[in-house]
Amino acid sequence: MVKRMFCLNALMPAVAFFGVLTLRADSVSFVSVDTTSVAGTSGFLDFTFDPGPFLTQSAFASVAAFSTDGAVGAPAVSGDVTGTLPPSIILNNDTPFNDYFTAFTFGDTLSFTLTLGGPAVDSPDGVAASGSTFAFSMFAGDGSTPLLTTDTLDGFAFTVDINLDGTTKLTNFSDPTSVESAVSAVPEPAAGWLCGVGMALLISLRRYYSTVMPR
Amino acid sequence: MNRTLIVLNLICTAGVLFAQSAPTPEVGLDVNMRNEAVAARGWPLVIRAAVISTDGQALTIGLKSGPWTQALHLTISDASGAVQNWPVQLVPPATPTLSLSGIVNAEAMWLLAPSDTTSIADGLYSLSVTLDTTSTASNGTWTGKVQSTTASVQIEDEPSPLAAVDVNNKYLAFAAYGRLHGDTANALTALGTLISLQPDNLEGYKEKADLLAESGDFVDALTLYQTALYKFQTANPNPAEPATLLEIGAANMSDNLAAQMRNISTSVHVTASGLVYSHTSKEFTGTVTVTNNGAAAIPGPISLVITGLPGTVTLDNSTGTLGLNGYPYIHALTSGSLNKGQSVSVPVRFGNPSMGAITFAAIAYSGM
Repeated sequence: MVKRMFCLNALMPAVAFFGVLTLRADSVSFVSVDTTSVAGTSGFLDFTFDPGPFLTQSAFASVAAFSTDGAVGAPAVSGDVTGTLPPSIILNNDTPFNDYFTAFTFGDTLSFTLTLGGPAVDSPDGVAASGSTFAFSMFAGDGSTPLLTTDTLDGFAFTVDINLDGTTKLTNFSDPTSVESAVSAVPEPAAGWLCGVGMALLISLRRYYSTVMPR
Repeated sequence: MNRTLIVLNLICTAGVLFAQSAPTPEVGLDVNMRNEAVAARGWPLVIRAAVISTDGQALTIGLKSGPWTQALHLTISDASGAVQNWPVQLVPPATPTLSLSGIVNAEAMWLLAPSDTTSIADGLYSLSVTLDTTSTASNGTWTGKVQSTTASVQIEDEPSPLAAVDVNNKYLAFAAYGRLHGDTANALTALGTLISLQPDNLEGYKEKADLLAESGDFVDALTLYQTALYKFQTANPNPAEPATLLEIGAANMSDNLAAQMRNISTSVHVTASGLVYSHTSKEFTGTVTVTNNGAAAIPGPISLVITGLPGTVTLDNSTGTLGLNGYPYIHALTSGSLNKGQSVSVPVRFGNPSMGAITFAAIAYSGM
């Protein structure tokens, strides 16, 4: 019995520990853009989040806490996009082209929180062969001439790839755009729940054995 | 009466057979690929003697010493019959002994450099070749003397502007000279210029394709043949005769390419990023990554052949197209090797006006 208790003592923390490790947190980034140089310009903002050509695991991109001293106009929405800016939209990669293209009068600044999540980020299956990519762009009044970016070919201010291992890769083409990653030190709710259950079970087992079993 | 006819027939047949038992070479001659050429001073001259066996019978030409081309004697005369002494260079033959049979022919080439034609006076010149082995033939080879057909070349100042036919003649001459002179780069430049000036010049495509094939670039050679065929078919929807040379050339390039390229799909893993739409380029862009999962390094070049694209989707940054189906391909690695565990990524750009799903299979090949 002592041997059994020893095994449980060793096993339970391990279960709790690996329960945390195998789950990833969403990728959260704080985005702010200094738009002073184009303040007063009527143009467009574009948020797009699209899957790859091969088998792609589900994922979402959330644009939240959108804030600006500019003026947001009417959007044109394509694909699986819900919500409105401000304050937030969610783009899913379920369809080939998921796009939120909104009229916008630039002020001095704009900011938002970008969260990439879903199974492709939180629990990569090792089967998918394509990631998904989020892109943010700013355009002049013609809707295609890029603003505030060195990417004159495609006009992206920045892109974020979701890699097949759930990590993300940022490519920033815009000097006035700051994209700061906020990797959460707090485990995801599911992971925390598993950890708590594991620890509670461990404690209760230790109490049980220490009560009924002679030392 | 019938018996008499039969006997006569047999005699005639025997005569024909007897005549055929003595194979004789025939020699044809041209200048810059024309029997009656026109060339400007400053252009190169390529003088070609084509030797073929009469009736296709087996025939060997060999000399006691030196290559068979030493039995060829080129004579150039001006309009008055005065023999000219142009500083032509005889290109060394591939083999010292010439063996002919069937419709196979052999060619001997003389080159006259562009710098050497600048000093030739205006006028019409005739050229002929004598093939003479009467005192030099080695044992068991053909002995005799034959005269070639006659070719001519009109030398003049380069017209300005050049007519279309002159453009064709000029750059084909420079290409042929460069090719035979071992200057492939200049030959390719000449053919590139010709094609840029005359995008429908099928001879230019064919010559460039053959030149690329000589250096092992069967992919681009095939592309050029396919382009030429496409242009021919576009210009001649109902041709009186098929473009046989182009079709044979394309088939040969396909065969060469198939022998050269190696499907490495079992040794690599091909993955992709998301393909995001750009409102600027109106394209879906992303990257495709090739990872060597095999046990050994894979020598480059490595390309991805894209198959199964939806009909309305195009790979806009393809390196070229492949095969009669026109599958686009893109170079992932142009040189070096992809070591074990190493990856290489290549940007991809797709036109997709219907905004539908972009799906395809990417087949990895080395050797192309």
